[in-house]
Amino acid sequence: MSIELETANPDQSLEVEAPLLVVENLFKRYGKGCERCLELTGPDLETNLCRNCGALIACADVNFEIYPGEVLGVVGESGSGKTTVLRCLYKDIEPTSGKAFLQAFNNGQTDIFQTNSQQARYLQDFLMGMVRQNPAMGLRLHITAGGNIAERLLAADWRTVSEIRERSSGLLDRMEVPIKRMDDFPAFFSGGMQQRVQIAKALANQPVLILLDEMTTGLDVSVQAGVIDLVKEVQRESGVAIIVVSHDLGVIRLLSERTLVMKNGRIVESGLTDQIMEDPQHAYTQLLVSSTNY
Amino acid sequence: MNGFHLKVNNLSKHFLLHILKGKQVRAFEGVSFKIKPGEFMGIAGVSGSGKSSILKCIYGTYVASDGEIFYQPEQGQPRELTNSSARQLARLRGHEIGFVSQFLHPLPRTTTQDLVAMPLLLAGVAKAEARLQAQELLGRLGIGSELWDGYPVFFSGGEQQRVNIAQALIRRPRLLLLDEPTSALDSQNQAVVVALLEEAKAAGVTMLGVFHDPALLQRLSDKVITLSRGKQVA
Repeated sequence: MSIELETANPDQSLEVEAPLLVVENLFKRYGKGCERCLELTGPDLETNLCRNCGALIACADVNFEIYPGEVLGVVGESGSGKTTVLRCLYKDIEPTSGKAFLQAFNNGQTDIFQTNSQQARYLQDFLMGMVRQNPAMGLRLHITAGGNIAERLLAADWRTVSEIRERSSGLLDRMEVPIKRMDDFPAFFSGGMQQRVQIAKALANQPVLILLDEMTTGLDVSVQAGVIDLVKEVQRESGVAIIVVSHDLGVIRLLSERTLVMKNGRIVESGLTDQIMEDPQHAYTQLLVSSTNY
Repeated sequence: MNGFHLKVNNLSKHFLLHILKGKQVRAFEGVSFKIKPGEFMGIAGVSGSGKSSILKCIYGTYVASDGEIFYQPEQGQPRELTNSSARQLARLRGHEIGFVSQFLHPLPRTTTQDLVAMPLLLAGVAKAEARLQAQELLGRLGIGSELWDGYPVFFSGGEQQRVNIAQALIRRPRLLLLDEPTSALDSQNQAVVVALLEEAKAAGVTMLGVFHDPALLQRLSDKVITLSRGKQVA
């Protein structure tokens, strides 16, 4: 069977398609707040704390889109608000205000921040996956690796034990976790293997969007490389959209095509990842890029 | 577009370096040219004259400061690239516009043949078939089979450049931007690359290339523009 290579492009249309997720004016404040909070915080003032009322502005004016099959990077240092954005999307925490629309959730008609608990669970169990920096926050360390994945499949209405086991072992195998460890507790795995179990778990229910929160932070470089490589492959195969949050530009550069740069809770720049790296426009981005050593 | 594939009008690029207290560095200014489909245009000039910066503005790696870039896609209306969103530019990369960089960017844990096969994999070609294509191209570029499962990060500069070229040419885009892709190659390998580029040209690929070697430039180009200190002099 011959393939016309020059036209073997499954994605012929060049028009920008409808986004998978649209986030509008996401705002998260801890504390009572006052009318001067936005004015007194942000990247120009280099603070998240409102000196008028003491409130902490974790993120504000966050607007972005992610398209089907895309990998979007979010880079920033501590206090940038990047993890806050993910946690709001995954419904770990509630935003103070703002809206988000996910195409796969009621055709993008319902604001995912305004859902009841049943809808919230549906979003978490069927449509999205999350990998956390600390595996202890994303896994149950004292139930088996296979059990962790099975738990997620059960939440997504899988009912046949043999199918659950097969999917779990298939995913772990894909994540290069040896099958014989499927019945071991992740508490006894290395950091890299724990992360791979988390990724397998996040992928189990075939979500449309996966959120990676500092997935490789704390891992050895060679282990990082392995995890990144796996994520790239799986993303290519499944076409899942990914938001990668990291303070590490190297990880962002390897994984994402477009990137948002955040500082003190605001997005300061956004664009193609190679543009951000080679022709950063904002002063903070220039500082960040010039501080790397690769 | 009057039948042109790419039209650049009065394009300028300068860098504003906030971390150097707002210092402005000019890359180039007032550059204009037009390329027809299937044409090969060369950009000549000494190091630092702004040649690569033009390519990067077209590809979207650099944000143009002034001027316009009109690109005619395979289907649909012409696009003005300096006013296109990041997502629109991302969609143009791959099938429409390709970029051969000067240096190879290896990926972690990715063998030479898989790196070269990557554009095909991304286009949905099956792994086995993609690898075969990669092997064939690598063979032509003198990268022997003993290196196909090696990691390019350990290769010599010349070998890395040849892997880079293979990756860029394996899935021919409609417009190919070439940024000094042969600088580390000896004349024998250069000849192979020239042959590959001429084949691409015969297949209708439009090309815009920066080469510091004037003989190579003359050999490949249908027309040449020359830059000196950021200005178009010819």
